[in-house]
Amino acid sequence: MRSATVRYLDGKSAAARAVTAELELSRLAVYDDGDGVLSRWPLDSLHSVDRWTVARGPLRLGVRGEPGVRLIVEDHAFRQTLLSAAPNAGRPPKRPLPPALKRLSIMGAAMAAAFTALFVAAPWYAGPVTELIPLSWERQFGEQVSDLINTNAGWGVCESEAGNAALDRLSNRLAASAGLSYVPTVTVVSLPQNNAFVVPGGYITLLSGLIEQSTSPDEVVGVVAHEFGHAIERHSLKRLVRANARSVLLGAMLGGSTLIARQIAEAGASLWELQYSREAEEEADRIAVDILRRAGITTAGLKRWFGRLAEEEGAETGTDDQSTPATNYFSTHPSTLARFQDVPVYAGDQGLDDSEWQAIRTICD
Amino acid sequence: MSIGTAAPQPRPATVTPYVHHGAVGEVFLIFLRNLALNILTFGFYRFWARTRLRHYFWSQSEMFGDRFEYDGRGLELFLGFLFIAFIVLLPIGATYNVIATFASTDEVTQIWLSVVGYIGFFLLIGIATYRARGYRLSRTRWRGIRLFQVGNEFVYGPMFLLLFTLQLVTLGWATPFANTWLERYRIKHTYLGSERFSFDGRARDLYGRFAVGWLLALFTFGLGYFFYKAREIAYFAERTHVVGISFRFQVSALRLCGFWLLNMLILIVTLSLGYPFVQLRTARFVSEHLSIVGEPGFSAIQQVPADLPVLGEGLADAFDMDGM
Repeated sequence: MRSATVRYLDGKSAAARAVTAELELSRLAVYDDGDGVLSRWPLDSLHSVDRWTVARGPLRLGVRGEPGVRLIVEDHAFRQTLLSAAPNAGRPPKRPLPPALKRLSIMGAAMAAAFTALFVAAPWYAGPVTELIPLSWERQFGEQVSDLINTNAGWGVCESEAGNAALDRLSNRLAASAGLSYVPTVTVVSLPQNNAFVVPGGYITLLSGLIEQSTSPDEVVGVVAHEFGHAIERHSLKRLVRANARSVLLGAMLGGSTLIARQIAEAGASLWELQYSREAEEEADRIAVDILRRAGITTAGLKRWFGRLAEEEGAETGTDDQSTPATNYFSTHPSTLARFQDVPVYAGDQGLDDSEWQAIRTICD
Repeated sequence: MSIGTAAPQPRPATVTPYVHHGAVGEVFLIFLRNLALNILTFGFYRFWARTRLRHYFWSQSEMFGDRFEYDGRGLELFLGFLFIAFIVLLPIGATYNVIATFASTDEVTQIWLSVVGYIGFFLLIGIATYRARGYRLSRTRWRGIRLFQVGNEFVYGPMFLLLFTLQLVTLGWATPFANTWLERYRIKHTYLGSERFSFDGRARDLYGRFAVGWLLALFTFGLGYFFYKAREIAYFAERTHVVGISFRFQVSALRLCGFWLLNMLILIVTLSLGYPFVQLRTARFVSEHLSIVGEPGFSAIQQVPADLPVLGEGLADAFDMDGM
C-alpha cells in the first residue's frame, strides 16, 4: 500500500485536514484534494512523536525541523508501510540540547560540584565558621542544652555547698591557667559510669561513677582538665556546625528523593565524623596536660585514669591490645592505651586539698 | 472521531468525551524501570522518571481524536531543582538551623519563629504550584499547538498564602471563595496557542452546597467535604471556556470520596511507591467523567510564539509535589 488518507496538522493552527499521503522513492508527499501537493518530506526526517503510541494507538509522526507539524496515520496497512520505509518512524526524535539548556547545564554542573565540595569540606570550614559564632551565643545555647540534659533527663543533679564551692575553685584555677575568658560550670550527676562530658559553652558534667572510682583527686582533676580542652577548642560547637552543614546540604540536595538515599548518606557522614572525634580527643588530651602543668597540678592522675580505663577495656574484650586498626577506626576515642602512653608525667599538687576532695566525694550523698 | 472543519454551524452543543488509554501493564513496566534506576542513583533519577511517566500519560490522553504530547526533559527538571536547591533551599536551611540552635527558647520568640515559618512555607508552596503548572503546560502540545501559562507566581503565591490563612481563621468557610479565586487566576492565565481560557464562575454559586457539606463534614470525619467538592469540580468545569467549548465533569460525591480514599490507601500501603498507579487511576477517573461541551473553532487556535520557561520547577520537587 503506497498511499492512504491521513490526518494532517500544519503546526500553525489546530485545524486538522484529511489529506492523501503517498510514499515516493525516498520521500513522503502529502496532497490535499483541492490544493495539490502540500509538502514533501525526506523519509528519514519523519519520526514518531512518542514511543508509546507506536505499539498501541495511532501512529503519530512529526517532521524534523518543522515543530508542530503532525501526520496521524490510522490506516493499519499504510502504517506498516511507513514503519518499514521511514527509518525513524518508529522512534521518538533525538533532540539536541538547545543552547540555553546547554549553558544552564554547565552552571548546574558547577553547582553540583559546589554542593559536593561543601559537603566534603565541612570539616575544614567548620573551624572558621565556629570562630564566627559569638561566645555569648554559645554560652546561652550550652546552658539550655546542659539544663535539658542534666535536669530534664531525670538524672539526679548532685549538690552540696562545700562540694559546689570546691568545684568552683577548681574551675577558677583551671580557667586562669588556661587563660579562658569565662569560668566553665562543673556539675555532678548521679550516674554510675566512669565518665564525663562537656556541651558547648563549657558546661561540664561529671558522672558520679568517675568520682567514686577515682583513687585520688588528681584523676578527677585530670578528666576535668580534659573537658576544659574540649571547651577551649569549642569542639562540640564545631561538631554541631559540621553536622548541621551536612544535614542542610543533604536536605537541600536530596529534596524529594527517597528516605533510603538520605539514610545512606547520613550513615556515611557519621562514620566519617568518628575520625574528627578522635582528633578532638587527642587535642583535648594535649591541652589538658598543658593546663595542668601551668596550674602546677600533676598530670599523673590523668595518666593513671587512662591506664585504669585501658585495663578495664582489656578485661572486657579479653585482650590487652587495644590498637587493632579496626577498633581504632570505628571508635570515637583513640585507643586508650595510646592515650595513656601519650600523657607525659609532670609533677605538681593534686589540684584539690583533702577537705575539697572529701566534699566532692560526698556531693551525691 | 471528528475532524475539525473551518466553519462550525450553530446547532445543539455536542458532547465529546475526554478519553484516557493508559494500561496498568505499561505503567507497571515504567514503574519497575524507574524504581530500579532510582535506587541505583540514590533517587537522582526521579526527574527523568517523572518525565517518562508524563510522556506516557500525556500520550494516552485524547481529546477530539487527538492525543496530547509532552516534550519536557528530565534534565530541565533536574537543573530547575539544582538551582532552587542552591539558591533557595540552602540559605533557608542554613538560616533555619542557626535559628533553631541559637534562638532563645522563650515563648514569644518561638511563636514569632513559627509565624515566619508558616508564612514562608505556604508562600513557597503557592509559588511552586503555579510555576510547576506553568512548566507542565509549556511542555504540552495538542494538535501540534503549544499550551502555556502567563500570570505571575508572585501574585499567585501570596494570594495562596492569604486565602489559605483565611480558610483557617474562618473554619473553612472561605473555601469556595478561595478556591474560586485561585481557579480563576489559573484558568484566565492559560492559553491554548492564541486562544485564552476564560472562567466565569462565582463563589456565591457554591455557598449553598458548601454549607450543607460543611455541616455534613462535622458528622462524617470530614468526608462531607466531598459533597461540596464534587459540585465544585463540576461547576469549575462548566464555567471554564476556550474557543467556544466548555467542560463537563459530573461525578457523585460518593464516587469521588471512594476514589480519593482508595488513592490514599494505595499511597499509604505502598509508602508512596504506588504513586504512578494513583496517577493512572486519576487519569481514568477523569476520562470516565470529563467531557467537552461544544465544538471548538479549530482553525481559530493558532500557534503563537510564547515566552516559555527554560527550566522545570525545582521547588515543587523539594515539596515532593508532582501534580497532573
